[in-house]
Amino acid sequence: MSLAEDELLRRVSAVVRTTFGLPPGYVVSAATTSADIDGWDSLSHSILIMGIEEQFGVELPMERAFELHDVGELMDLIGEAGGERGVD
Amino acid sequence: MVETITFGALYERATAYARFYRTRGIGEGDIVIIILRHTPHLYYSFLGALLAGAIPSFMPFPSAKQRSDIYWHDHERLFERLRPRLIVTYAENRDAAHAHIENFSIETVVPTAELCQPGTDAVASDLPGLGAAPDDLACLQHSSGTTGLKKGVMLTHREILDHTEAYSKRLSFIAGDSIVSWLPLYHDMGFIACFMTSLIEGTHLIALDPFEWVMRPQLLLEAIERYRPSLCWLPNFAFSHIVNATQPSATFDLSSVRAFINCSEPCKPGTFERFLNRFESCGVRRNNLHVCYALAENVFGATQTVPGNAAAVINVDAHRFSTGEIVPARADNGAQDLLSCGPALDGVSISVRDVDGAVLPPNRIGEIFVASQYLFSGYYLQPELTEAKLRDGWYQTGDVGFMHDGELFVTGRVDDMLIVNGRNYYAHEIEYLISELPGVLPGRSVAIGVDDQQYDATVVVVLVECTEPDASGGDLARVIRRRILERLGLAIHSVVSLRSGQLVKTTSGKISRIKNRELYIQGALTASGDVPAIS
Repeated sequence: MSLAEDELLRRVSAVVRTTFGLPPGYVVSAATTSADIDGWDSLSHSILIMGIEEQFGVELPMERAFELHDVGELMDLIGEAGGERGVD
Repeated sequence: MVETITFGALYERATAYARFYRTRGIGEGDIVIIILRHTPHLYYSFLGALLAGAIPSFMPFPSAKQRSDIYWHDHERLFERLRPRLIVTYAENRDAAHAHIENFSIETVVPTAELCQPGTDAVASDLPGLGAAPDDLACLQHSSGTTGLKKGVMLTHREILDHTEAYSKRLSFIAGDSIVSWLPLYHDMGFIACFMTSLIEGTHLIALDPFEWVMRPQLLLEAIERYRPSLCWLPNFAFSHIVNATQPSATFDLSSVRAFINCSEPCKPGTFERFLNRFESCGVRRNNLHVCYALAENVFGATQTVPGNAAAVINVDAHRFSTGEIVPARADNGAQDLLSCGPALDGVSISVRDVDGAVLPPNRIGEIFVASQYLFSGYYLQPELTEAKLRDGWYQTGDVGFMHDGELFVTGRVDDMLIVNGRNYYAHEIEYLISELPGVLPGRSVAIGVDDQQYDATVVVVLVECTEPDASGGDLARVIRRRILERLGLAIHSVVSLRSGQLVKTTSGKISRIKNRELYIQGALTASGDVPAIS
């Protein structure tokens, strides 16, 4: 994983942990799916997407954002949407 | 993209559908099933079937996470009973039916622009539905929940019209009213409260795609600001979702809505408070927040709070409440706030009964029975089920509640039904699907509904005894979640893996959902592995 990808995962992980109330040490990887995390359903997924959009200053395409299979696909989508803001 | 449909265009396109149905030999008494994503063809195909004299029924399409093979195998069993003459659906779903069901023989049609091109003026003889008698069967409303157990509620033209008259009267419906909705049409709130009310009252309906709304609930608020509708029905979870998933700094003019109506799920006073706190600055007032008790068997509404007044909230003694009695709260017994569903609509009678069927006085909790002038006439081709639920003109709802000052309060269910995000699931079905998994002790799991404090939502938690502690800490949870999501379309919130013997049994030796739920909420059931419990 490149430094840029590493940084992207770090920032996405932070939003995932906040959205689902996970402890700071909870490890989120590109392979993490909704089945791995308590409370990740279609409604909380939209809250996650809102948090991601806020963090990266992008608007993600709705249909694709709804059908993501894992965190890796979310990272790809952020990249495609040109997300680059987010000094946290 | 916004598409505007006039009533004239609606009639023309519905008529075109009706002609299409007639050319296929579809007419009186034929069942037409409509399984479509959000598109105006939902309206055209449904009304076209009515005009053709057929019996239409909306049904849900598979979600992105559901397995289409299971979806279609479940529907195969349902369709063996219903024997639909035609299914209106999109190409991907039609192809899935042919891929997964051997010799799939039900005729299907995929909506196209050509299908609803207006033709020459139709006359009544072309369209038998125009000559329908009031007591003819108009359509079927299918209950939400497990496909194989779906029941087709038979509704006549008269029942739908009489219900709308009574419901509109309670809402003081006026010519300037209009409706905004994100609700799917396979749900009675979207179908009757929004679509049918709009059609019969001749008012505007602003309809959003349900899936777009789930992803961006703010769309509903933007639509209210832009189109100024006055009525909006939402299940309880939707009030929470709008608060949770709208940017905290965003503002909207919501002052046009005179009634946000909470329905289809247990309605919580706390949810109204959160909604009011968030949107009071946007023009929402306490007396704009309303509650309806509805059931497909009564077309839709049975009770409704009165517009102009705030829905009543009563503060009751929590201990006496747990024993089935409603008395004002006392300092030493704990207190519970309960939200009224309002008085019965004109033509509706409510009766609360004990387990022996004896009618209970006000302020005593029992099962709710409904009688009305527009109560359904039965479940389609299910006479035994109809007889079990509909006796002497009274429908046994399975809901639990009480009457207080002439208003109905709904407090729960007599069975194991769990209502999550407006959809119904049964605990025993979830438990059955789990019991088949390796590593799970057969018959040693419970599915319970609990309140998720973070998002003010009802979620499902599974407590499961394992053959050995789930030391992996997550594999079992992942396997259970995937199975339930694929089979039922339900996301399990948490899985707590337990050692053999941790779940409490009843005196008759059955695992008790109620007692284990209490223990879980108290924090007395702890996971044997590392599966995190709900916080």
